[in-house]
Amino acid sequence: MIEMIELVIDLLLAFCVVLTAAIVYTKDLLLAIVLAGAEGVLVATVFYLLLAPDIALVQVAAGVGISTAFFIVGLRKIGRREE
Amino acid sequence: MNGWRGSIFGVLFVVLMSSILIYAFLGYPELGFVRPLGEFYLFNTYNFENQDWWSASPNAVTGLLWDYRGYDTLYETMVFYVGIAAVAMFFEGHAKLKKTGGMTVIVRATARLVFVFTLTSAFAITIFSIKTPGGGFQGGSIMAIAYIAIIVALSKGFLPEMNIDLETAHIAKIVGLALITGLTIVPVIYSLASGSVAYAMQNQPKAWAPFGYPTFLGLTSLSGGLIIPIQLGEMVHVGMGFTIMFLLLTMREKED
Amino acid sequence: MLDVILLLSLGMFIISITMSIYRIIVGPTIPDRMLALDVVSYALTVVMGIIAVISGSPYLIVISFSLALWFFIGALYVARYMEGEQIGD
Repeated sequence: MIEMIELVIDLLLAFCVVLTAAIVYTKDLLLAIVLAGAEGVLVATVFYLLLAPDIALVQVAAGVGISTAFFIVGLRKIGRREE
Repeated sequence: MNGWRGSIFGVLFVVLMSSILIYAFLGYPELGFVRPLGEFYLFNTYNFENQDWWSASPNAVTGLLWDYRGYDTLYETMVFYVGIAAVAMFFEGHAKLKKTGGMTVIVRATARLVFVFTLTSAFAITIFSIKTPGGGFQGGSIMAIAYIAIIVALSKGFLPEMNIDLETAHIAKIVGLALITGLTIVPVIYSLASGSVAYAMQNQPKAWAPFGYPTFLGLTSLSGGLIIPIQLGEMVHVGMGFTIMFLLLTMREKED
Repeated sequence: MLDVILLLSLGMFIISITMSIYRIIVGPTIPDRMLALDVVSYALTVVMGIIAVISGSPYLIVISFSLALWFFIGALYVARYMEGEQIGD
């Protein structure tokens, strides 16, 4: 069981690396925000699997829910495409 | 900075930062040095036999909040307060809370349901934080998400119908901060009045400082002293703060 | 018996999460990715519930509620942006 959970953590962190690379290289800022939300959900799962549920709650609520809302409000002001 | 110069700069930056980090980790004390601290907390925060240092809360993470690292939470909350005040200064004037259509009927009905569920889960996470994981900041963030859902799906004009205005949100935020600060000062006032010893941020009685908030709720269930009012104050503070920020940021720059 | 079923379903959900993450990274349009992120969130909610059952600890299930509730709102933000309206009106 422990080995399986460690395997899941490794898998999730590998996905996080791929998502981070995609966030850095994309030119579409809305896409970057969506990918950042996905990465936040995965990081929250990693916190959960490391038995820190309170940190995972903060990550889901503040790091994913509220910051995505603020980023999208800012996107309305600066435009979607990065040159 | 284009082409290979940018790449060289990036590689240099990564090498520099990683060498600094490796140096920092090499200088870090070995694992055995940190372990006694964790053992201290494990042994003392929830120990019925030795109640000199305990926090009377089954969830030790939340129990630490008051007797151990209360000033941390107090100043975090005050930093948050100052941040919201700075945002409110930049956007002076009041956001026009006009009531418009919002999204489609299905989304609006679902958003009302989700609002109720989210607010309930925020209160549950805050109030039961003496037993289950969670706390004031978590509950406040989830409460803010509930109000942000209403703003996005319905419109800003629905908030005054729920008695949430910029003014009332500011007042609720200040009441939350005042609750935390007031409960901090109560032990000091007690010690000044009675001539005995008590510390600021004291929750449970110590052997040499007899002041203590009630330990048991009813007869059997542990209350963790005054953890619940502190968490409620922080929840209102954080939730209303994020809501005010979102309201101010969604203001139109010009009326059109 | 129950352990076997729980482990099997855990593995299946992890496979489905993996495939949805492939869709998030590759998917051609934003709505595709948003839908895939929705699937990932709900599947992760179920995975958290299964792990809470396996480990026998009710404290681990608290976060799954807020994760499930959050995602409705996340899709709402993006939909509101793509409608092209001012957010908050």
